Amino acid sequence: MKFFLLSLFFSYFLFAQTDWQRWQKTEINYTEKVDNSGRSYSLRADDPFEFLLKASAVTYWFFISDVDGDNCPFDPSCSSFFLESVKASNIVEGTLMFADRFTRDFNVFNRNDYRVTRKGRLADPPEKYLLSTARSKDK
Amino acid sequence: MKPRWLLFILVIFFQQGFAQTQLESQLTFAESLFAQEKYFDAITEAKRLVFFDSANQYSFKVNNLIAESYKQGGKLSEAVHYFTKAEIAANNAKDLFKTKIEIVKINILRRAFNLTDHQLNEMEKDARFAADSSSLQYWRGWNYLFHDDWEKAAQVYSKIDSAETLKNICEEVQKKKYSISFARGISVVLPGAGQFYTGNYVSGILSLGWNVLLGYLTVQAFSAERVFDGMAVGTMLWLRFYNGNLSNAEKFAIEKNELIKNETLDYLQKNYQGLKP
Amino acid sequence: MMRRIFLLSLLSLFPSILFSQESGLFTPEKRKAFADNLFCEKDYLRASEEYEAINSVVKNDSLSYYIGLCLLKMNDYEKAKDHFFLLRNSSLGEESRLLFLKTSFLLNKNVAGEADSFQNQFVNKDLKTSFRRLELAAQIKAGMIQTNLFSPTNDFEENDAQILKRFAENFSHPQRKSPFAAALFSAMVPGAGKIYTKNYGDGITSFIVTGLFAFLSYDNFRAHHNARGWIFAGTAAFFNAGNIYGSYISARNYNLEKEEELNNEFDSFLNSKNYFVPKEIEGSCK
Repeated sequence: MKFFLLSLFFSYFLFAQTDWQRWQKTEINYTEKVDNSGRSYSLRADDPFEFLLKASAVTYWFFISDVDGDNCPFDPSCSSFFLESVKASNIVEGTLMFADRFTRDFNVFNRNDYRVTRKGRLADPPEKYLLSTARSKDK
Repeated sequence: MKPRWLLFILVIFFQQGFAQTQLESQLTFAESLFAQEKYFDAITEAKRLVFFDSANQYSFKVNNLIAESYKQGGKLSEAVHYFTKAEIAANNAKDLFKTKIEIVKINILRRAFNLTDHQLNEMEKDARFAADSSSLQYWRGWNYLFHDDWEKAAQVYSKIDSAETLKNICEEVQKKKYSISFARGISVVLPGAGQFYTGNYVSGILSLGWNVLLGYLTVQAFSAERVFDGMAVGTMLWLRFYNGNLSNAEKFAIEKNELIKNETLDYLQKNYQGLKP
Repeated sequence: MMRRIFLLSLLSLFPSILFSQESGLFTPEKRKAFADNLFCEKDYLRASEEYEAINSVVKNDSLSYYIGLCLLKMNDYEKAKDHFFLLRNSSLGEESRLLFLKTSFLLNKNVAGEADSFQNQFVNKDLKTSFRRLELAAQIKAGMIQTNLFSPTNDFEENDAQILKRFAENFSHPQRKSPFAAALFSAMVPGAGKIYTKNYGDGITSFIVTGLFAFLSYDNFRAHHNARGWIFAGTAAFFNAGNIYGSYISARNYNLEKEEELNNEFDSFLNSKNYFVPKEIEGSCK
C-alpha cells in the first residue's frame, strides 16, 4: 500500500507536462502503428538528371536490393543515402559523401558513434555530412 | 435566548446549504463542459471542485470525470491515474468494479497484456465480484484480441452466449492468418515459394530467378573445377540471395498478418456495436 | 419570530440562486487559492490561466509575476523573458530582472546591454549577488573570460570558483581539430585524417580499402592489364576522394560534438545550481 501511494505521488508530477499545452479530443486508434518510413519508389523529379538517378536507384532496389536480404546496417541505406545526399547538395558533394559512407559501411572495427534507431539500425543521416551544416550553437 | 440560538443554527444551516449548492453546481458545470467535448476545461473545473470539496464528497464522481476526460483526449496514463483515485474513493462494490474495469479497458488499449491479465485474475479471485465473472471474461477476450492472440480470444468468447459475433470474427481471423514458419519452410525447399504463399508473386519470381541463375553459375564453376570462382559466386552472391529469399518469405508473412490484425481491429472499432475498450 | 426566520432563510437562499456560478468558487480570493494550488501541482498552464483571469479584474504585480513563473516553468523561455522584462520596474522588479537574465541565458541570448543597466539597480544584496554570478556565467559561456583574467570574486564559494575557472578555460580555448589538417593528412596517407579526429575504425578501414584497390591497380598495370588497372585505380581514387572529404567533415563534426559536450556540461552544472537564482523567488510551495 505504501508503495502504491508513493507511486501515485510520483506519477502525479510525471504527468504534469501533459497539460502544459491545451489539447483536444483525440480518438484512440485500435490499430497498431505500422512503420511506413521505407523507401520511396516514386520517380517524381525536378530535372532529367534527378529522374535518371532515381530510375537507376529504383531499378537497383527492385531487381537486387529488395530480394538479396537485409545487408546494410545504416538508416538510410547506402543507395538512399546517395540519393538524399545529391538532392541536399550537388552531384560532386553527394558522390563524395557516398564514397565516404561506403568506406564507413566496410568498417568492421568499431561502430559505437551512431545512435541506434527503433528498427535497430545505425542512424546516419546525410545532413550530418553536408558542408553546409550550420554550427549548432551559432544559430 | 432560545430564538437567537435558533437563528444562529439556521444561518449555519443555510450557509452549509449554500456551499453544498455551490459544489453541486460546479459539478454540473464541469459535466456540461465534458458534454460539450471541452475536455481540457472540464478537467480544470473538476479540479476546482476537488480543491474546494474539503469533505471529499465528490471524490468518486469528479475523479471519474477527470479520468474520462483524459481518456477522451488520448492521455491514457493520466486517465489511469485518476481512475485509480476514483477507485480509492469508491465506497461500494459496484462503483469499485466499474472503475477497475475502466482501468482494465485502458490497459487493453495500451496493449499492456500481462498487466491486464494480472488485474483480471485478481478481480476473478475477489469475492465481491463473484457475480460479474462473465463481464470479466468478456474483457479478457478483448485483452487477447489486442494481443493478437485470436485463438484464445475465440475460446473465451465461445463460453459467453452474448459474444457470438466476436467469437466468429476471431475464428475468421485465425483462419485468414498466414503461418510464418510455413512460409519460411517452403522457401527453404523452393526459393520464392513462401512469397507465392503470401501473394507476393513478383518478389517470388525474382527470388526464384536469382537463385536458379546463381545456383547454376556456382555449380557450373565447380564442375569446371574453377573452385575459386565457385566459392566466390556461391558465398558472396548465391547465399546472399538465398538468405534474402528466406527473410523475405518471413517478412511478408509477418506484414500480411499485421495487416489482417489491423483491418480487424479497425473494423471492430468502427462497426462493432457491443462494449468496447 | 416566524417571520424573521422566514426572511432570513430567504436571504440565505437568495445569493445561492443568483450568484451560484460567478461568485461562489470564483471570487478573486478563491481563484487565487486554487491557482496557487495548481501552481504547486505543476499544472502551470491552468494556474496561469487562473492568474490571468484574476489579473483582468484586479491588477496586481504579484499575479503578473506568477504568470511569468508559469511560463518559465513550462520552459516557454521566449515568452517568459519578455514577460519579466515588462516587469523590470514593477514592485517585483529585482526578481524580474534576475529572471529576465536567467531566461535570456537559457535562450542563449546575449543581453549584455540590459544586464549592464540592471546591475546597479539592486537593493537586495542576495539578488544582486545572484545577478552578478549569472552574468559572469554568461560571459564564460560566450568565451569572453580569459583564464588569466579570471579572478573569482567573493561572489562564489571556493568549489564553484574552481569549477567555473575550468569552464572559462575550456570555453576560451576549446579543444578543436582543424578540418583542413584532417583533409591534408588523408590526402597524404589514406585514413590518416580520420585517425587524427579519433575515428580509428573508419581510418583503418579507409587505409585498407584504398590500399587494396591501389594495389590491385598496380598489380594489373604490372601484368599489362591496362583496362582493369584503370578500373581499380578509379575505384581507389573514388574511395580516397571520399575519405579526404570525410576527414574534413569528421574534424568539423568533432568540433561540433566537443562544443556541444562542453555546453551540456556547463548547462548541467548551472542547472544543479539553479543558475545561481535563489529557489524562493521562483514560487514557494509547501
